[in-house]
Amino acid sequence: MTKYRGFKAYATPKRIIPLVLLAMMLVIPSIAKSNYSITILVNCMAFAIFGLAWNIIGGYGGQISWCSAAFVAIGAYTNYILSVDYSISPFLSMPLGMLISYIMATIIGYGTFRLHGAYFSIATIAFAESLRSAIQYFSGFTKGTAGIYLTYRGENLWALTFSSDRPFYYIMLVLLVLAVLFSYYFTRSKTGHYLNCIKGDEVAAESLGIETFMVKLRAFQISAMMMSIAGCFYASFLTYISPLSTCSLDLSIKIGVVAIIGGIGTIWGPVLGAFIVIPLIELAGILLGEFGSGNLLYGLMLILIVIFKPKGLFTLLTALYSKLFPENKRPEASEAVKEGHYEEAS
Amino acid sequence: MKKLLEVNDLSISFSGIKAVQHLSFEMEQGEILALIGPNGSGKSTTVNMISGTYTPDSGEITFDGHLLHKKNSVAKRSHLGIGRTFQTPKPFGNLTVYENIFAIALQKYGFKEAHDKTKKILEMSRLDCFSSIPSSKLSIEKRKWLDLARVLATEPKLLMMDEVMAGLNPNEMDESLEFVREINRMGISILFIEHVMRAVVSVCTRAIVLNEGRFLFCGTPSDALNDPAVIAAYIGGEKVKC
Repeated sequence: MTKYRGFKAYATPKRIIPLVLLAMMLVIPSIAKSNYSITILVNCMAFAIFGLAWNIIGGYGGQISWCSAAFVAIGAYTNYILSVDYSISPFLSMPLGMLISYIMATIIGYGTFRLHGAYFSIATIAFAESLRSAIQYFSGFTKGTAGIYLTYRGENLWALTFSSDRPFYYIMLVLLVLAVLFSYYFTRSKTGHYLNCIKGDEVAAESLGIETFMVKLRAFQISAMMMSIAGCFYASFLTYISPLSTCSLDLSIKIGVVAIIGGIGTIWGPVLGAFIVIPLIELAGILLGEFGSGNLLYGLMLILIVIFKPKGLFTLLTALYSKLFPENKRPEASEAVKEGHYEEAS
Repeated sequence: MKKLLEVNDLSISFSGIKAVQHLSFEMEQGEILALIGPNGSGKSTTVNMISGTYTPDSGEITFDGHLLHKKNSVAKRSHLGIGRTFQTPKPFGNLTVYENIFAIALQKYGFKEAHDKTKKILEMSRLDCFSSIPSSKLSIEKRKWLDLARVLATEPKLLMMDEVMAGLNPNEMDESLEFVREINRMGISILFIEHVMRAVVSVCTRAIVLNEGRFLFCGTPSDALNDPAVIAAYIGGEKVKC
């Protein structure tokens, strides 16, 4: 018997759809005329990556973090300080940002993951706010509230400075693909499985031998490092950073909202969420005026989602998918339903 | 016979309420020991102290030659071989029945072996036809079975079953009792906490009766049912000195 299963066995819609979308994304820059639409798409991709990073601890682990922006800021500020003052490439300062984020995540997690409940979430807010104050206070080092401008070094991939946003489009696309693949393998790893158990029932997970404290800590460290990698590249794209743009609670909430609206605990949820929320905020800015309209919009979206689709918009797509390709339904499940062995969730 | 579990002079109180006082008992390897008593007699508290959820105020617990202390967390005790189920089943509702067991089996095995192990457990617990159903949609009886099946994936030496028969109809109970016997035949010792006396008499060889946190009686389940002190504790009556 040969192991070759034929092309059809591999070419399932589940695999083809992402590839088609990827191909579309690759073609868009050559079609798009305005730089503005490219900028928005880069923003979408950046927030998709932030959302995926948030999802590692918030979605799969059920530990809601509101300090995403702090890790973005750590990535952004290590990049800017080292590249502006010492002309070190972001590719070299990125590992340092990851290390600092790792240490910070360890400290927060160590203090709060032994407790159950909301302590972790509260501690993350406190941490993000203190980091923002610290950035403003140590102004000799970080330029304080004035922020830092990136030195333009010509078309330079090593320094990540370009005259247009198109190179960033491809860089973010590569990062996004990597983040999706990483999330995919993370959910299939042992840590991913344990984290799912913790989300289901922490007390039961612990009684079955899962070291809940260590698993949560590891997930938070991974999430923090992912966030700071994305933050490092996103900062280069922005060319100007300030405590308000990279380390505000507003940004943390935006990242959480992207993941929640898309669908927490799913791989495509944060991606979908980013590609819906970011353009809508942009649109609201144009229609209703820049200041505060975005907040109003995602506040409204959040309320609607929590009431009508608490599992996120991605469930709409999966429902559509199973309608289009009904043969994928699992036979065992439907048999058990026929036998009447199972009750509706109580 | 080798001693698996030794509980020596165990006491715990919660803000003045003495939940368990000076409790001592032993358990042999391969035994099904019943722990019975009226509501509030300290059965679940004892289970929680053995599993590590509560730290006793005084007393010692020795399991399989290890003296358990405060540093042995709940998870570490599970690695030693102490397994438990909960009064209210706690399935990982976000996962399917298969994933519930698979994730736990991953702790001891690689992905391939864990898959085989899960299949085996599903078959044994007769949950295989539900394997792809979200565990939150199972009926209460099947949830109890899933709790048992899942803890088997940790390969425990001692399994503490906290009221696995409560709320089952006679038919379901017979099936569950057979499952309990099957687990015992695998060489797993069972501490059986139960109110349903029919179940206790049917599977247990020895019973320990608690009342108001104190040791009351130890003997065969049928002797326990005829003991005046036990009857007094359960249905009231004159206090009998013991």
